[in-house]
Amino acid sequence: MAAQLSSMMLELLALYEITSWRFPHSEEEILLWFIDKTSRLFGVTGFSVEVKVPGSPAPQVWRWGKGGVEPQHRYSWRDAELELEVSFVHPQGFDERARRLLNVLGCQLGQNLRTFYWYRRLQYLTCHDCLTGLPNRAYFEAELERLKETFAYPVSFIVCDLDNLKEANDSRGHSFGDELLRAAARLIKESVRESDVVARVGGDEFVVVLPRTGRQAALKVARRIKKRLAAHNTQHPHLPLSISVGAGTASSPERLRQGLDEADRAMYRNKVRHKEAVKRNGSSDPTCGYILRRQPGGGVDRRADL
Amino acid sequence: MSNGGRRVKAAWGASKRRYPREAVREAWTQVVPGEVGPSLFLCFFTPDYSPDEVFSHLNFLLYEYPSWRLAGLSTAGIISPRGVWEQGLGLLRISGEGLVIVTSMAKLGRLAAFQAGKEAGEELLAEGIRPPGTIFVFYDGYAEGITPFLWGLYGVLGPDFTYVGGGGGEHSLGKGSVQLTEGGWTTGAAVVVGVGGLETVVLAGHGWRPKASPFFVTRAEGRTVTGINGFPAREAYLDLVKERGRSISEIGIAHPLGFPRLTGEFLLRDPLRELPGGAIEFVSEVPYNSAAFLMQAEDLAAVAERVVKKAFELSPEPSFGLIAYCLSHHWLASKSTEGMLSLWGEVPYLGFLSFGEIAAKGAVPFVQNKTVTVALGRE
Repeated sequence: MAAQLSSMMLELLALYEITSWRFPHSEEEILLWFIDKTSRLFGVTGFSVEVKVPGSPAPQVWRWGKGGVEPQHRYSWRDAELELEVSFVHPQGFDERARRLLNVLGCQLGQNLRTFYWYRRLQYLTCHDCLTGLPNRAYFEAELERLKETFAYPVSFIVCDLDNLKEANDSRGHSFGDELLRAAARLIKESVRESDVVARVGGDEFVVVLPRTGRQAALKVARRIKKRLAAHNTQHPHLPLSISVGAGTASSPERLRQGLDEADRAMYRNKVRHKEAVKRNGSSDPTCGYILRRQPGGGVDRRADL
Repeated sequence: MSNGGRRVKAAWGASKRRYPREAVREAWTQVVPGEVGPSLFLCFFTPDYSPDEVFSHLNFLLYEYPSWRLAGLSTAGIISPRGVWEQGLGLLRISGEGLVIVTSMAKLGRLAAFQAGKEAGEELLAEGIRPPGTIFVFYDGYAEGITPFLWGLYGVLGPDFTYVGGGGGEHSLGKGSVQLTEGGWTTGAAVVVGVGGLETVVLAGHGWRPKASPFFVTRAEGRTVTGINGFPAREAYLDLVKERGRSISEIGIAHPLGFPRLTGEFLLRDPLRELPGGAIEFVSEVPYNSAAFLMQAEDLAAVAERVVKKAFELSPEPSFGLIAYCLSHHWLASKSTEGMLSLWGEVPYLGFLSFGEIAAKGAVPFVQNKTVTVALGRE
């Protein structure tokens, strides 16, 4: 059978396979593609792939099949964005033709990984806020769409608004405002479960999405945020935060937006109550206790909605 | 029905009785005498038997022997020294002092199959399976993900084990199969059995060669091919085989695809059925962006004999044998298995009509189609 296909034809067909590529959805897909090509075409029984991305702390290593055996062929590939070291194991070793084609395969792997990492970085950047590292509005909207297709109900939302950010920016500069935002993001993120989504949906507004969480549990989480806030202000008096918090719950996919609006209204009620308390008691607001006191200016006064 | 003499002992039993309880009992009485040490029971049965009843009766019998392990599969037919039965139940007992036997069951699926394979391999290692040894894999031929599952398993266990097994499925009924261990039974899964200390010779042959020029599978996902040569798969495939008027499942049996390796060997893939939108589903995963040939059959009746003879040359005094005999090969070879069965002498063996076969020693296991796979075990 083997005699019917010339060596050159087999080489050309193999070359077609190893240079044809489709865009992967995950690193695992690239790994499976590599396993298929190396083991099916070349009879490779094991390999290790070491990927170094400049700037990342440690190289990523894939080891598959036979470990601890001296590889029969090595290939290195590098450019400004990625360094790749591949070694292949074969029980009988490789002939010259196989080595040549394995180099092409290794080169293809390097290019594929580089493109994939670009894509993944781009995807991260389009979905995350670069200041706080939290998912952004686009990610949040996509998450809402995804939630419509799940069975994670009831879904609760907690809307958090950083008070007096504008005043802080105006009086202490934007870098101070940025510090406040980062601290608020950290505080909220640390107050919820790892699996909950915390997104920065506006300049000073954050939303926590709590799947499979009812109203009472959501109120508990809101109280936890407030508690941590108080602890933060005691521990970090130089970085005082004031966050208005409101919770809302959706019982079904159709009521998802209502749940979010409910949380938004509750947050504004909390904000108004807080400001009135500050006025009544004559106490200073933590965020702007020592900065200019100003009434929020511009835009429509949303208190009218209440 | 046992070979006696050597330290790894084996015995086979089979029954055509209609009721599962009676069939299990009859096969059991043939395999149990003479057992030593830890034992593995391989059970193959046709879909005529309720898996629930087969499992519960076997479990009842195994209950007294906690070190005995069970692995099984429902298949389109069983093969024993009595012939090929399209209705029946067979048992193969493999026993031996010092054998370490561990079973594991994992659900298959397109998304997490690689990880499931890794976990199954890690479970076997954690339970003390070390090379040399044999890894038996029996799976649902209609489930997605057996190829990445095998790669995950191999990635952990490596080439120092022998991998052997196959899938179960009922082509004419268009349904998959049942997998069982001593822990229970399910469908859409893979059963993995590690037997430390058992060395096995395994051989597979298919008897198909390429015809005409190569073509390209331009779009595929798992077992589904949607594009051949850049055109919708169904139309392109029918143009290649130059046959119309019959369904893909009928045509596909005689016109599998062959994917060449650099050595000139072929990995075969059987078209299974037509899917909506002009796609074709295959019996096992199809490599995407790959070059393929349409294959034509040689003398298929001789293939099985050739494989068995070659296996006996490599392992002249085996303790037992296991056969995974491709269901479509069985149909195409006009059911001529007598020659192959006559070669076994006194060696106890059992086999099944398979829906995908696995055979690898010192190499990466792949699911093959259209092969006759023979494993001969010894200490």
